[in-house]
Amino acid sequence: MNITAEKAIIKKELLEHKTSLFIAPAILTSLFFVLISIQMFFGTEGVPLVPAHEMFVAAYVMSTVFFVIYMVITLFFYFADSFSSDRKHNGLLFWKSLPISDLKILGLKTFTGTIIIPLIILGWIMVASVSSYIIGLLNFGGFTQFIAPWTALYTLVELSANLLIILVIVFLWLAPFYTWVGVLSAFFKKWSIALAFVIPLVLIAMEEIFSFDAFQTSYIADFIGNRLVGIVDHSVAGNAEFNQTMQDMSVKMNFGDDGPNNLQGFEANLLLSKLETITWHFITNVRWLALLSGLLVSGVFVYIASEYRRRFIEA
Amino acid sequence: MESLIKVSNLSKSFKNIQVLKNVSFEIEKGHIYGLIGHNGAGKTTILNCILGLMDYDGEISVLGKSPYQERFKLMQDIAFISDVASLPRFLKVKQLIELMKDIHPKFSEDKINEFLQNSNIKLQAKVKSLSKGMLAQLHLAIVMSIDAKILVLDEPTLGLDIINRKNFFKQLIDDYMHDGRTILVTTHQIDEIEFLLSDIMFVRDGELILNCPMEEVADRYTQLILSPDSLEAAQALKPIYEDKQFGQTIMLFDNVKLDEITKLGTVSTPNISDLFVALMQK
Repeated sequence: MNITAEKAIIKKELLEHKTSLFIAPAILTSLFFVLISIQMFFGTEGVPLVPAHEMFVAAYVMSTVFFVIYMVITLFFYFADSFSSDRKHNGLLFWKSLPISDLKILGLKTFTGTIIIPLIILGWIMVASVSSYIIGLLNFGGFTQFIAPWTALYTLVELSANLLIILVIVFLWLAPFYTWVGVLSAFFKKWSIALAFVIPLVLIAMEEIFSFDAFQTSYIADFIGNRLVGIVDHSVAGNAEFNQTMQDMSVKMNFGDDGPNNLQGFEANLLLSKLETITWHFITNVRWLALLSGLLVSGVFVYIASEYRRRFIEA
Repeated sequence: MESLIKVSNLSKSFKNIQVLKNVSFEIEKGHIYGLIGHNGAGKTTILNCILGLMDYDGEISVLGKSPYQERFKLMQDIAFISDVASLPRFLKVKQLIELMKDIHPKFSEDKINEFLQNSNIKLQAKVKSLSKGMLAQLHLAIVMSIDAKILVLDEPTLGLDIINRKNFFKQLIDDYMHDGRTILVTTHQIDEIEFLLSDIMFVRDGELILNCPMEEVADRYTQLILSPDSLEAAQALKPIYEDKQFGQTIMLFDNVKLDEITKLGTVSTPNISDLFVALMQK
């Protein structure tokens, strides 16, 4: 199967959004590298000496948290822009002069947003982790004192492989929300950013008004909330043990009352030993039917946006 | 002769205002058509319907396909430059060429490199940094590098100065006008493209008022610069247009016998812009 055209559209999307996908993360990673280095070598207290492996894994976890938050926000703005960006500077007629359908173009934009961009962000998490490894080497005076490269590499791959699976599933789960912003963008361009929130809020308000049950129960709000955070079915039997493990880990993974400078409480080995359990538990307890129905809804949003683009966005 | 485009009874309305009224014509292979009309006459609307960019009433068949339903398939065989279309500004010229090569199966990278070699356009330049003239040149180079069956140009030189307009059409003639190409072009600069057209179509207020080969224009229309005292005799022959220039009366006739008017003054074939002005005011 020849997918050259599809790859070209994805590449074009990445080039068009290179600031948020490559330049900004590179600056943030460099800033992280510089700040930690300054703190380590010139700070009055310095980074507390913790076991090297702990420091490496903790840095991975921190960069994961940071970049996942970054990605959630970036993807929102990506979808708010990309479904209408071809219209900028009268560019749509150029794209319409190419032998590729509107549905395929918007489908590829969605694929880029839900699969390719999370992979790129995973790449930045790995780059940040490698940076932290280099800082560790400098601080500990070479890898004879720090963890060996192959140990770091194994840990990096192990963490990233698990994170990859979780990220892909999570962002497929979130696809309806992002394509909702996308379809609004196709119709209303930049107004989609506000409308993505305003429309559900108006619907909730109307529900409250017409149900005569003000501020008690909103089925729409419950549904949206459930769709946002309800990826895992917590009612499945056998979860108690897992939840206890997570609770134990959340205690031991906390970075202390005084913030992330204190890594004493962090136990990397506990996280690594439970990694497969966490991932497997996640996979087996994802609400797959709800995820698939969400993807179907995403498909409908993309189709509506593509038909609008094909029929109504004219010269 | 093979018809590549068949348009019959094409009508189009925008918010109850009818901008096209039962337009019918055919575009034959190997011909170069000029679609001429005043601002708002409906030229771009006709082209947009042919290109499948908007819905319409009536029937259009382009290379045997319905353009509105199968636009993206048709774009394999049609290349077009729209009057307002702009190339993606965030790409470099080289990236744009690579994109075209990957997306368009009939795009030739060798051809465009050859075209651009003779220009000032640098491959590493960003599209947004190019001047208007360079953008038009690049866009033309792109569409000429597509082995398309039909090339559609909608006011391709709009906003360009006379040097860039001349360069644009020179490049079109030098690099594209061979192998029986079929071109449909609209422009306001009628005089600048008159020499390359094989057929001409005039649109007035959404109606096609003239559609004929260029040689037929010479056979059918006659311009007369009147001799003194022949005004009444000339008016009796029902000219389609009458004007006074530098104290002389000029008339245009449709299908009049030459021997009837040669005695009335100096007879010549009108140029297209004179004919256009005449028919637009009819």
